Amino acid sequence: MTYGDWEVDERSAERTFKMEVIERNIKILKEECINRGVSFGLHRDRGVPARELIEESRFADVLVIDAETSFNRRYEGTPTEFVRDILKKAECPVVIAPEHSESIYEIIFTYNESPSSVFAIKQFTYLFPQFSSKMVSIIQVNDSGEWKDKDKHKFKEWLKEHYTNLNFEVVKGNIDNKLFDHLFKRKNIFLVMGAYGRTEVSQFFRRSHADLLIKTATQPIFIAHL
Amino acid sequence: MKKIVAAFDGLKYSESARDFAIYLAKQTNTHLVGVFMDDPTYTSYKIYEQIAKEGVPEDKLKKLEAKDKLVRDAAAEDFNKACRQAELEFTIHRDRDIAIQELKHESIYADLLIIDSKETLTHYSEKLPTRFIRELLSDTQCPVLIVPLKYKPIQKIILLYDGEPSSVHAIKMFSYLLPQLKYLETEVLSVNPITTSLHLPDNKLMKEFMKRHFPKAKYTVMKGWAEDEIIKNLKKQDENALVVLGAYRRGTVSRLFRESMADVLMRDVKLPLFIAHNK
Repeated sequence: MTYGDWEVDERSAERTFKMEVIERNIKILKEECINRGVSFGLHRDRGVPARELIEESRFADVLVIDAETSFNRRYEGTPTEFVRDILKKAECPVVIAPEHSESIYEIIFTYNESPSSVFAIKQFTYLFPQFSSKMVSIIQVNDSGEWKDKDKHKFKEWLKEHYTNLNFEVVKGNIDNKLFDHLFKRKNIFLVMGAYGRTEVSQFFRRSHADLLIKTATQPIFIAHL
Repeated sequence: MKKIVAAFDGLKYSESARDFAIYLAKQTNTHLVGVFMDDPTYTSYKIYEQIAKEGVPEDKLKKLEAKDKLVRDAAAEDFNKACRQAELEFTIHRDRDIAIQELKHESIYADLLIIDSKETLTHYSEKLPTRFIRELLSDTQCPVLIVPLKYKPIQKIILLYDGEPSSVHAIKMFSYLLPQLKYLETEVLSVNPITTSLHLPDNKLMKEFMKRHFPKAKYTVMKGWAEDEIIKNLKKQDENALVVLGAYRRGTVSRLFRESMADVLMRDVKLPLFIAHNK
């Protein structure tokens, strides 16, 4: 199969409209940064979006993205193919931003004794040390409903160096549904998950779209995996 | 405050690992954990030799065991004293399990692991890099600082950069974990293949990233074989530098054919190495 060269019709109404929207959004971003005193830079990447973004992520500390980002016209549900791809391949932690931002009162760490669940917690801690005095809940899901962890001593030794306000919680039941039932009730949280969450992340989004809009709207999610 | 783990073989106690650990813990105001790998399957005497010589002499074995215990206790006591003297916050773990597994496990719950490059956890001495260190590096869950036999304070930071994800990951981890060392002179070292230009790989993105993390870094780009050029350059350094590199990704086929940079550096340069790998 051969590809012909495509030429962009620079005068078409559709393109003019698209460029206008892009310029307007860039202007909004610039103004917001200036108004809130954030130093900023803009990159206008013209390559294949996923590839460019992964390369950018190599030289970034954290990547913030909307779960509905897509370069497809069709509605895909959340997270989109694009976001799934980025989550899998990004070379820095990713924050899935909620529709509206609200202040954060509580940090939630999902923990299952695995190295990758601790990896995500460590990365979060190095990147956002300013949350050290916030309330931190470490949540484990298992069948017995009792805190099962032979490493509790070592883990606590580490946690105590970084956080002052710790709270251990066990949720009884199946990881697939119980964790999220448990979390959906909370507001003003920042949820942190590792590869532990890899399947669970998609679980998280697999709920009906209406649910998602209502329930996850206030919850940013930090994802880092090995 | 962070948690640094320093790992020791109590039978061959490494003073250099102790001194580096205390130096870094002091600089960074860190909680130091001394892990003594009291692996019961590893003793100072060769058990088969004992059996072959004199059958199974129960008392003699007991005596040897007691002697080993004394040596191990003395090592832990020395660490205890040194930490007190330095007025550090510290803990001692005495792990009585298979050393390599225990240490990998400790690394999950640590921010940084410090260990001597000569550590073998056997009574043989091995050529560097030892099997123990290689296995540890391929499966550790936190960055590792491999220290040379002699302790010298760190005067300079050298970041090895080749444009690969793991080299950038190592630089990120170093920046997050030891920001207190950023006042030191910092140099980024890159080696390009002979046929290419002298540009830094991913120049624009890398400089933008570095401007935020190490604004005063110098850049040196060389041409040639990475291993040769880097060794040459490091041997020329007058100051006692700490070298940051990414390495040892699991399951990389190329490791069968090419030694990792970390292996070469451990063997040929006596400098502390900060090694982190991702994925």
